[in-house]
Amino acid sequence: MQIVIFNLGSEKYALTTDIVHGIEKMMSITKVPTAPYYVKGLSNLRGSIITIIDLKTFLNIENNGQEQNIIVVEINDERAGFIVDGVEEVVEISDDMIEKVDDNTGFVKGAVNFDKYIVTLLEGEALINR
Amino acid sequence: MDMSQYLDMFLEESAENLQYLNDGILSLEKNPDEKETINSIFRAAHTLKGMAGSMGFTDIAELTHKMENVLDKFRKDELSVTSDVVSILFKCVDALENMINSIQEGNDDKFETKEIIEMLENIQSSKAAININTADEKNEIEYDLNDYDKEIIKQAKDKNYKIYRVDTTLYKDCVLKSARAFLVYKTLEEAGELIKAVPSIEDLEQEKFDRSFSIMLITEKKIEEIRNLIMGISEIEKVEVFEIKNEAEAEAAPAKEAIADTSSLENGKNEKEEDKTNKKSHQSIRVDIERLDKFMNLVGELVMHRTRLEQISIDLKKTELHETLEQVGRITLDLQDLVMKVRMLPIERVFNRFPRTVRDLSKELNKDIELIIEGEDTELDRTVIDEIGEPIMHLIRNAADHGIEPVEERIKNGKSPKGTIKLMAYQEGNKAVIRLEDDGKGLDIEKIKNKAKKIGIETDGMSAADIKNLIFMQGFSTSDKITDVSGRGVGMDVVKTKISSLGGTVDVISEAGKGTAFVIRLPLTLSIIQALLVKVGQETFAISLGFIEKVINMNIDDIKKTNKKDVIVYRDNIIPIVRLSDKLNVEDENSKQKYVVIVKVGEKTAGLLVDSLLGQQEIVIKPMGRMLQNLKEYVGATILGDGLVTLILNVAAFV
Repeated sequence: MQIVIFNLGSEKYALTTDIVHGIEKMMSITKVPTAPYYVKGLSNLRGSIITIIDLKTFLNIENNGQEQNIIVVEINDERAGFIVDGVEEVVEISDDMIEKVDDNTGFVKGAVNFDKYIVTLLEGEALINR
Repeated sequence: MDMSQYLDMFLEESAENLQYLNDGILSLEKNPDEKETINSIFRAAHTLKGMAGSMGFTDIAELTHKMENVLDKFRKDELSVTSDVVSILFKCVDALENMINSIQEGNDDKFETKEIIEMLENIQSSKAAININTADEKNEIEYDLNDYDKEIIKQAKDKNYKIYRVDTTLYKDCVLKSARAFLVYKTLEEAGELIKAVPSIEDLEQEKFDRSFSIMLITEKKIEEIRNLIMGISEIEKVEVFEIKNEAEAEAAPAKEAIADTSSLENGKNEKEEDKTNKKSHQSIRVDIERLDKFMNLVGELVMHRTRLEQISIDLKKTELHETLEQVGRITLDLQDLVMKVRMLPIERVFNRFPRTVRDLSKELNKDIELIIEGEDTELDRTVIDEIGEPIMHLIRNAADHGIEPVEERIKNGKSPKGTIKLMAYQEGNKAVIRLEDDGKGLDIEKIKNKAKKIGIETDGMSAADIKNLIFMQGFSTSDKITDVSGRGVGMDVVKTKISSLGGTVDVISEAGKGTAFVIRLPLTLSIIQALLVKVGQETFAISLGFIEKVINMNIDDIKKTNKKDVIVYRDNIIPIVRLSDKLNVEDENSKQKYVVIVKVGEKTAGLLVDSLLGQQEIVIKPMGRMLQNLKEYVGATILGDGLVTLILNVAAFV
């Protein structure tokens, strides 16, 4: 399977590409007062309105002001954008490279060890359906 | 070609026919001797049977067939209509409805019908008479054969194949004609080779034929075999098979004595000849709702971009551009109007199931209740039509159960023993109003107050109208006992939530001892609305003009306090003030000069305090993602001319 690797703070995370609809530069976001804390707001993605989620806030990672990209995912016809610090690369991995990790949040699929660094593979669907 | 493409059509038409059945049986109950009613029920059952048969739903076909047998007895005066029979017929309709729902959900039509079929068979003690109908029409279809076709015929002759001309006539009321025709030529294709069809196969597929068609076939089979094959398909009125000896004969009309027509053994085909001139009266087509939605979305997008263009044009200050844009604006407006109208349906669709509901309720509750329906031709957006049935159903159940008193009590109070529920729809400005009245005992204010106290709501200082409207709160059922019909304390808040999700409001007006009225106000159209853009602090919000009564400019010092609440006095009216900045947790501008947007939601008025106004604009409501859908403060969001997303406030949530 293919995964797209990106940075959040000092760590690397990834999502499987099958749910990724596109990668965008930061765009203007309209705040939604009264929305859950991790929802940054709404954006106009070429005529359709998508919900933008601050992935760092969501995963309790300290905000460093390095946000560069929005990864747009599409799951069950629902589109949302995840704000990330910067997209690194897309790589091909095999299923057996994913190692199970202790996780009680349900947001983590597993970890992938690439010698130089470790990537946490996130469960996109769980992030959206919270 | 597979049958699934006909499934939607089948489901839709089944629903219609079920409705006819329901309506028919209801009026049969009232006027048991009305022959025309029996005929219309019969026709509906017959159509259903045919459609179900052709789709392969044998259980439905069987049940409707049994219904037909019973109905046929009525028509022939061999049986008389009794309330028992009517109940059984209703049971049949319910069973059919269940089966069709099950098909809709992607299951099959299997349903326990044995019991009902037995009941039907008991009614109809003797075997149904078989009614052989000799059709008297002959088809004079001319073939137009080209040289190639003639060559094929000649070659077939030389090889000792037989050439037949198969003339098929479908039932007059056959619904899925093209599916039928498909089955016929598919069957023939398996039996041999098709040379020609009149009308052409394409026209047959597109239903461009009346009810007869003719197919020329090369085969080794016998005439009888071919005929039996076709007769095996249901809803075929008549099949004629002629052998064609030479190519010259092929073009001519068939010799009359060739084969006597075989009429089907279906009984009850003696429906009246339909008026031929009737055929053109329904100049309408069925369109998939998805296509309409797409159409609507596209128009919405067009409106959005027009607004954007207008913005650019203002910046550029070019008169030519401005003039052209004005034209475009007019056309988009017309287009918008048109697409709205196309999506509108009469509310009859929703209302026509309620007579049955009320009939069943009055039986169940042992009360005598009459339902009066008015204004069923009022039109509403399809989305509203689809959603509004459930809340009205709740209200009707409530009215029947809690509103209308038992007969003895009514007589004691000097009322007519028969209770009346009145369901009305009418248009009021840009709103559609649905009003449901009963002449029952009305809401008991004391009871509501007690209940409010129990769940911790202070009712002192509330107006009687406000207290009555408490019944829409969650978990607020004042009924002492829970019945099957209503009183579970979930109904009313569900009603309110559903109606607000459609951008509407619901109010209750009630007078003790005289009755209760529920007034539902709904927007005529959804999706594209006129809105006022306002600013609260740094944020922009849109407010639908439909709710706005007036906008006033005022100094913040004019806000007074009464009973710890902010109010303003405007033209001698005291209007409560809602500080949007507080409600939305937005920091407002630190200025004295503010605006109050006076909104009216149902019977309530309030003033929304905002910092500034940005003007009026046409906006397209787009739903927010699932994650934000349960935020009750907004009805959705829109994209403005400058490309920015703006939230649309749900005024009802603040008032």
